[in-house]
Amino acid sequence: MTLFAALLIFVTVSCFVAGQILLKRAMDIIAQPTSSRLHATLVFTSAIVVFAMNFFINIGLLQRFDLSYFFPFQGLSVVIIAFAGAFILHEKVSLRLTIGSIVISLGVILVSIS
Amino acid sequence: MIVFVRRWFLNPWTQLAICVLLATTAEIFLKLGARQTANPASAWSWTGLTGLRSHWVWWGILASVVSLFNWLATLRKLPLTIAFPVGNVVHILVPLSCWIFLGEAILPLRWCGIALVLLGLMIVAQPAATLEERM
Repeated sequence: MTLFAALLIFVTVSCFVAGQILLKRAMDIIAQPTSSRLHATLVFTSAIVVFAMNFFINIGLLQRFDLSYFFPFQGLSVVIIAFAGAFILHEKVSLRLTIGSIVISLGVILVSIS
Repeated sequence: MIVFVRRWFLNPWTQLAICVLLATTAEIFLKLGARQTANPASAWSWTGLTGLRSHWVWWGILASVVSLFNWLATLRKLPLTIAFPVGNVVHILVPLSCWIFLGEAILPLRWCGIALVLLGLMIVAQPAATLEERM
C-alpha cells in the first residue's frame, strides 16, 4: 500500500465519522422547538457532502484493493470517534475504549501487511 | 396473517437484520462495480467517479440507502448501545461474502486481522456507542 492510499483510507474513514456526527447534529437541531431551519439545512447538507466524499473515495479504493482487505479499515472509525470525543467533548477515554482501540489498530496492521 | 407479517417486519430486530444484510450486499455490489470500472492508469480513478458507469454501483447505492432507512427504523426502537454491537456482525458477513461470492483468497494472516478488528469492536461497542450518542 502506498502512502497516498493510506492517506485516502484515513480521509474516507474520517469522512464517515464526520458525516455521522453532522447527521446526528442536524437531527438534534431539528428536534429543538426554537431551531433555525437554515441552520439545520446547512448542517444536514454538510453531512451529505461529507458522506458523498466518503462514498466516492471508497469506490476509488475498491478499484485497487480487495474488499476483504479494505473493509476492516472501517473499524478504525471507532478509534477516530474515541479521539474526537477526547478532543471535542474533552471526554476522558476509558480504559476499555483504549484497549479496544489498540486491538482494532493491531487487527488493521495485520490486515494491511497481509 | 397480514397483521403478523406486518408486526414481524416492523420489529426492530428484523429491521436490524435487514439493515446488516443490505449493508453487506451493498459492499459486494460496490466491489463488483469497482472491479468492472477499474482503471488504475487514470489519475481520476482515485475520485471513484468513474465507478458510476457500472450498474452494480447504482444497485450498491440503492442497497445502501434502503439499509440506512432500516438503520433509522432500528434506532427508533433500540438504543444505539445495543444496535451498534449487534450491527458489527457486518464485519463477519463482509469477509465471508468476499470469500464465497467474490472468490477473494483470504490468507490466514488477514483472517487473524479481521478477527482482531471484530474483537476490538466488541470490546469498545458500549463506550463507543455512548460517546457517539453524546456527540
